Amino acid sequence: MTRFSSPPLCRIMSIQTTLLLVLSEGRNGSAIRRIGDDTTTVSAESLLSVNPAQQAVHALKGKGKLGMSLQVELEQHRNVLVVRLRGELDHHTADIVRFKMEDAILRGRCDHVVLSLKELIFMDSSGLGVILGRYKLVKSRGGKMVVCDTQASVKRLFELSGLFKILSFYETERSALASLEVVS
Amino acid sequence: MSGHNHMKLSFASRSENEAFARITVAAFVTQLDPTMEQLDEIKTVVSEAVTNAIIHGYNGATDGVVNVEAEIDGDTVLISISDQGRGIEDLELARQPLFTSRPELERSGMGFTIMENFMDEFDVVSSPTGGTSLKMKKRIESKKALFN
Ligand SMILES: Nc1ncnc2c1ncn2[C@@H]1O[C@H](COP(=O)(O)OP(=O)(O)OP(=O)(O)O)[C@@H](O)[C@H]1O
Ligand SMILES: [Mg+2]
Repeated sequence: MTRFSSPPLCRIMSIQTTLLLVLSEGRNGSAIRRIGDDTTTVSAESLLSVNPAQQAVHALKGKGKLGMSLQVELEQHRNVLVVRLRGELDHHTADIVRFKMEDAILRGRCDHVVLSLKELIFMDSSGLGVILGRYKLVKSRGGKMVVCDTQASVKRLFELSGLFKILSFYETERSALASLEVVS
Repeated sequence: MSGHNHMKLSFASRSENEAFARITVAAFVTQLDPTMEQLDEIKTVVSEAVTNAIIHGYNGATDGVVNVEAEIDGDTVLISISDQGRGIEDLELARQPLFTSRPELERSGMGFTIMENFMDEFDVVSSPTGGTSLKMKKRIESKKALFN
């Protein structure tokens, strides 16, 4: 029996879809505006590794090359900023999330934020801190911040910390966006 | 697997090493055949303790040393994480959920609560001269044992 379950194919498919979406932004008109991303670093190989030692090597290699093992992708849908986090959110990688989100919220014309966490495979209390901090910022500007697509381990931390009661959670990005369309 | 095994890491108090430490301990613990959930818990706990040593123990200075030891005894893993930093003045207070001495760094005061929740046993010793030392235990019931 393998100790690490390999991610379902649909997970890899969804990355390709996202990349396609990013690549085809021009043709989608002005409804979707990409602000910035680091998506090029996602390799199917690292997602498919089933062996823990191999996985460790991939995680560490990723760090060496990029200086971080977290990717932040920002996309704007009208007045909503969609933030997709991929990889591992800890004390080391929290700064980049804080910086990128803060910059996009303060500069962009977004009222609300959707935090999309489908590919976030690790988070600790540093992640809770940075998310709570951005939630306060959005709220102080009269907006809403919602979370979608969380993995079980990440969701558990939200529950343990009580953040689950403060933020609204949705199954998919689509339903999260739909909930905000009503608000705005 | 049964019997006894152990490992020891010693590294600089740099935030890059948080991922290194949790991945290494998780890889060591895989010999007990843990579930994904148990591995996630162990990674999170190691990350919390190492981050505390770096942020609070050494106040962000990168010339400190963090020690991580893991020991397998039958179906139980023991994890010890220590620093020679400034120590914790009031342990009772520090262990309260949501208590943090550094709110300006966006800490939420959940580290100890997470560690105590994810491990079966948890113990802290701390002093201003000797730094902080955590000892934690978790039993890993093998999946094989569950299925047999
Ligand atoms: N290794 C350490 N050295 C010195 N002080 C520590 C150490 N670990 C914890 N502390 C103290 O205990 C407090 C509580 O720690 P805990 O991990 O629960 O919360 P936090 O680190 O402040 O926030 P979070 O873990 O949610 O980011 C810290 O704010 C700090 O004052
Ligand atoms: Mg902490």
